[in-house]
Amino acid sequence: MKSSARLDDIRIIVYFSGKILIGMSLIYWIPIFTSLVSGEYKVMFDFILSFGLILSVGAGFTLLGKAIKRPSWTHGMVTAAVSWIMAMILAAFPYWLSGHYLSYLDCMFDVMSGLTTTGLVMIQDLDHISNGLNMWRHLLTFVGGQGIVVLALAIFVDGTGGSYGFYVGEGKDERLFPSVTHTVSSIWRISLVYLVIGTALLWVAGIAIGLSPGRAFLHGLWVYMAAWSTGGFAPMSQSILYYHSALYELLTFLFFMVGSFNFALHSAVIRGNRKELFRNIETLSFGTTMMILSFIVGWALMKLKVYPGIGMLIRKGYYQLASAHTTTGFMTIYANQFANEWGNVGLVAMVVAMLIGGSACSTAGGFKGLRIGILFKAILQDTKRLLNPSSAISIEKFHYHGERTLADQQVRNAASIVLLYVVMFTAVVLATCAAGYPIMESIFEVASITGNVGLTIGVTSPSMPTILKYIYIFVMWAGRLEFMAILASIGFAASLFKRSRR
Amino acid sequence: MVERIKARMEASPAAQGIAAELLFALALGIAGCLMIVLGAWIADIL
Repeated sequence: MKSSARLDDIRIIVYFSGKILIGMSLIYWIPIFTSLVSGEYKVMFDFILSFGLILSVGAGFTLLGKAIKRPSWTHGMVTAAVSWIMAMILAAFPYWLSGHYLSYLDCMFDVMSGLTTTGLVMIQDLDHISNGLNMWRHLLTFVGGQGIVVLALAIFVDGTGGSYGFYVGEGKDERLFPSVTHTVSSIWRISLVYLVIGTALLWVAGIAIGLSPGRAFLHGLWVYMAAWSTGGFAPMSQSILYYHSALYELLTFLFFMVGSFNFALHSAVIRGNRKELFRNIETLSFGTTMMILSFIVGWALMKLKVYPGIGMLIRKGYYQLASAHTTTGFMTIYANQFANEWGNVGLVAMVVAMLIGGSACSTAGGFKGLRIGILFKAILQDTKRLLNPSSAISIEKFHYHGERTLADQQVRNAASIVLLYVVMFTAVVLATCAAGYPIMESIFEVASITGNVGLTIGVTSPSMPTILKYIYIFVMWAGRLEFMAILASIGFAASLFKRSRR
Repeated sequence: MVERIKARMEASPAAQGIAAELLFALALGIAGCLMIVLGAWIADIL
């Protein structure tokens, strides 16, 4: 009886994973169209083949599985975790067919890096890849920023109570509207409106710096997708440094800053509640840490006389810091300049920025400003309790889409996630050191991986040890889904294992 | 042209919201730049 119940659970998970893969297959038409327009027929056939593969697997899953009952939270969480892994395996196929990768593992690394909006790359000869493949890279990061499950929910799944579990499983726990369907379609509407504005502005900026109109449009579109998703992929291996343009840097800065805001904040501001920008605990927390770290980076870089003037200090120092804090990963310096020029104080400030990250329910990674704000409020409350008489009641409030009273459960949730991040970060730093990399380089690179940032000090490369590639893929996945979906999947797998042994 | 954009903006709360978000990001950017300059200035005089 119980084993048939478990089989039903598996069938539900398989069915909805299939739906998500079918939803994802729809985006293949964008690189197919790009390749066709660019006259890249070999690339176009690669994508058609890959489309056939993901559609077949997705359809096969929906046939094998069955939506026997309304999906529970566990189903939603496990489905989110499973579909991300399946998407990584299948979306790597066009990369592999392109011949720009040394192994299928490197292809999967780049897909996971894209979907999780990390931005680290294993690709060979990035500066000479086809338009179709470049479109695919940036599309993955754009869709990953919103969430592949969010994409499928917007298309296929109705707004039943069970569908909320899928949404939460992807590391988003904020309902913009009471209905999940309304919430996910709102996320996509906001992203697409910004996509049009951002691409248009970067297109003009590209033409202004001398790119041809067609190239300026494609670069504008791709760079915008990566900026909004706080992804960090760029069409050229030199990242944003390639453009040598203060205007391009300013525009990308604005888009990745806005991209790192919470979707609930976007929704509130767009609906007319502009005061939320200045009162929200998350923007206050982000602003505070950003100011403190800016001061430290300015101090550290000037002490070492790294940059000759204030202009360069802002364009190199501040841009890198903002890119790190929003977990974007765009660079206007070379990777080895971090190790050779920035000094330990500057690097530690960058590590802290990468670990804190952007906002909850946004495209950004890291601990998130909301959790830092809540933990700070909890410390403040505990300090007040110590200082006040024992009979005094200390109530701490914060503003987050309305006034809220700090509850122990919120503090516990925030502390658990931050603790999990710290444990994973420490373990992976140890693994990177064990693989032979110096301690400061290991700390920097692992902070970048854990926070889904994408800045690199030079550790991540096709020649790094294979075991580290597997570990980094896991860390990007766990960091993006914020552990809950993975813990639920482990629990689910353990329960299956236990029953099979009885 | 500017008048037309202004009229459109006034008629659309969404456009005003987007403008507010971009201005807020710009303000954060300017504040961060000032902090980095302050840090550099203190490092220079110490």
